[in-house]
Amino acid sequence: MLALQAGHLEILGDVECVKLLRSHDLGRIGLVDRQARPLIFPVNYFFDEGVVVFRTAPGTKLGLAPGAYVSFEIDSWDPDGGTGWSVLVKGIAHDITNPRGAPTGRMRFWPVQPMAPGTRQHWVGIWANEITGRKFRSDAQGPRTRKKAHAIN
Amino acid sequence: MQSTEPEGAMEVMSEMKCLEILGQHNLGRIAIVVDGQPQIFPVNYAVNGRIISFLTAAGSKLLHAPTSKVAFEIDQYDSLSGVGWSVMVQGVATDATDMFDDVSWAARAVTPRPLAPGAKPYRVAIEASTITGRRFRPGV
Repeated sequence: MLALQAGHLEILGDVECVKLLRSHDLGRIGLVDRQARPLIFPVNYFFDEGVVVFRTAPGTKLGLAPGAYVSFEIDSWDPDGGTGWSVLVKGIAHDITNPRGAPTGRMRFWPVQPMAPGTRQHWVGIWANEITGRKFRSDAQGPRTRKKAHAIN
Repeated sequence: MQSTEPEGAMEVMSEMKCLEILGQHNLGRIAIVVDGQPQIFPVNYAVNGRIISFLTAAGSKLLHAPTSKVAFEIDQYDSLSGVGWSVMVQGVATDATDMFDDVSWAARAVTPRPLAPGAKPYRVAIEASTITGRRFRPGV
């Protein structure tokens, strides 16, 4: 998938974006607070049927996400291959803790596994309106580069 | 109701610890608000004191970030040890490409190394107003 030339940036198609969303389980949700300030929090998630589902406890995410336009992002950088990609989901979040129908009821059985400790009894789904992604091969490690690119730890 | 959640410890990190961690990494994500909706982009950054510095092309990051409220985040999870952490910086972003204020000078004094290709002639400074972080480890 990442057979790219150095220095090349490429738009990912829908199929690739969905494949990446389905094959990862840690991303970040972007929210806007009451003062119009953006916030970013890492969450474990499960993606299917165009919906990003995560679990949370009462707090900032639960207070701001339901009913709001939010973003969700995953990315990866491979320092050995010099390749990276990111996928951005824009959508509307809904509290699905108490399902109102078959689709949301089914989502409650999705394998969302929070890694952070603590009880997370609230389920939130982000219904995607738009999914975009890009991938690149860094030219920081190309033949014309004097310095080797930083490895990211 | 109480459950089978992982037991472990979650702790808040001090601002000093957060700044230390920010200085040890160089890939984060910036969130900006475009038409009321947050957007998240990965960026390579460098830090100088409480100022996050990154380079960008003329695009949505530059059009919407200076001078606006932004968030910047780094995180890490080690699946072997089960230890994870995240740091979030909230502040105001400014175009520091050729300004002569203190924040712009500080932002230009450090050298972010963008991994993504393409010319990035513009520099953005995020002056942190709030720095928060937490880390967790699994229970036994």
